[in-house]
Amino acid sequence: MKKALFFAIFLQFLALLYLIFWAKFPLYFGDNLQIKTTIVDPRDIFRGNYVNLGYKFSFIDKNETLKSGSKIYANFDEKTPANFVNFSFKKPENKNYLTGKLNCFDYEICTIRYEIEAYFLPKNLALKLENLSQNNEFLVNLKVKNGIARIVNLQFQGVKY
Amino acid sequence: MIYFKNKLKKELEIWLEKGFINTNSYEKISNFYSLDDQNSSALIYFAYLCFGISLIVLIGANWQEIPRILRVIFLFGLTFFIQICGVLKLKKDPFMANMAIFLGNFCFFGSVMLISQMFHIGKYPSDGVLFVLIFTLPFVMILKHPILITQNLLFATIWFLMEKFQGNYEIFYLLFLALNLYAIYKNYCRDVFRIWLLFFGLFLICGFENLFDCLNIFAIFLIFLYFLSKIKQFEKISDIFYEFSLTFGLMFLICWLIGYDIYFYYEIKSINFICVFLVLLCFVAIFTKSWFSFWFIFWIIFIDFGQNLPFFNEILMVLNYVICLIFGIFLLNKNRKFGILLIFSTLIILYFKLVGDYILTSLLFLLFGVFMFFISRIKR
Repeated sequence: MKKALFFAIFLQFLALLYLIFWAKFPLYFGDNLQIKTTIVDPRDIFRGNYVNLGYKFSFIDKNETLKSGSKIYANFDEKTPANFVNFSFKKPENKNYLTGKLNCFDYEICTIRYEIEAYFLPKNLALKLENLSQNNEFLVNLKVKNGIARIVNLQFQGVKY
Repeated sequence: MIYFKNKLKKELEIWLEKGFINTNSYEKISNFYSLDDQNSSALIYFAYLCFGISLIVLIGANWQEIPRILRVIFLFGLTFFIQICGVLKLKKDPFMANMAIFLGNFCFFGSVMLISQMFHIGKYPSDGVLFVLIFTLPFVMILKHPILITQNLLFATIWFLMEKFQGNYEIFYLLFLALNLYAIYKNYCRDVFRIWLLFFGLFLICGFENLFDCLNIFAIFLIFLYFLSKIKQFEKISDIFYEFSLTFGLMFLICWLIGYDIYFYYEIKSINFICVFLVLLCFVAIFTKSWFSFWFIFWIIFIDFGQNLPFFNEILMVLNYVICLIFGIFLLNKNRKFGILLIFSTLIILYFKLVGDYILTSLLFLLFGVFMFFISRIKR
């Protein structure tokens, strides 16, 4: 029994290492992409304060071909900050794209998750950014590898947060 | 006599570990010879639960000033130190070993949260809960201890409810229920079986589009079962009806209670808050076994949630929490289950009120964890 338990602990250890690797992989090997975002200040019951990052390309009109859980690709142009071009359901050949997951439980629109919707911050800074963001757009700097994106930082009027 | 009791207790723990007896038999023999103070065990469960919640809330405070690598090393170190200590203590003190692994699993949960917080991964934490659920399952399958089964069921249900409120009805929840049922079958414990039934019921209920219609149907079904169990020919299965009615009854009352308040009096933005609250409250309430306790919960929650009504002022609100906590501590000696229930309900409600001030909430849970641990040591 002891061996099995140590193996279970080892599995947990490997799982955490994998999680760190998975989180860091795009940060080390990804390409830069800068896009526009709007922010609000919610809280997460487990993980603390964060600013909720909203994107124009997080929604798509619902139709019969869209299924919850399926992949969708948001394509961007080469500019900085990059502009959203269109959605595609096949993996794009260029590198400026984000891979999202569809969620179609709403009546008229489907939402798309890119795993870049939350930026965790201490409470005071989160509130400060929320105040700054009123009627202003922020820029979010990403590292993207094969459509998987990680947030590097937020940028507003040249200042990085 | 004391020597005999100590010797018997040690022997029983070995038999339990070897699988000669199950947890239920262990508890029956322990009760018959008054070997183990059940009150103390429950207090320790509660203390460890408070420690776990305290750690998780503390991580929410976002310690950006501390370098990432230090935060990771600290939490990883804590997780594996506790887990390894638990395994090494398994022969000498199986109870405390299982409690250590229970706490270690909470630390693992905390580590996953910390990583997703540090790297700003996603908005939805349900994937993280699934990750924790999968990697804590081996401990359940190996040790089959009631507290670990309960913890795993809790993780599974939080995950299921989070997915449900994103619009996904996760059928794989049944797989986790089945695996935990197997563990319960191998090491039967009545209370844990009740919890299992509760979560199974929750799975069925979530299949309905309208929760409250579903609750009404189940309420009629329960009344039917109640009268059926009174008929002599059905006496043998009345126990099963009793279990069902008790389990589902709990769920109905709490769903009504929370749902009613949320829809009519509150503007809580995240439904996840309610889900977690529901699950945690059920987890505690299920151990009370008495219908009277439901009314007790009802009364307490009504007062706590009613504080935002116009006729409640701020002083009454503060007094309410203070009285609840003092009364809870007082009740610990008179009726341990009611005491724990009252303190836990008040703490959880306070958590939702204070959410944002993570450090204060964390300290509150830590303080009560230490208090419960201290009381349990005195009782032993």
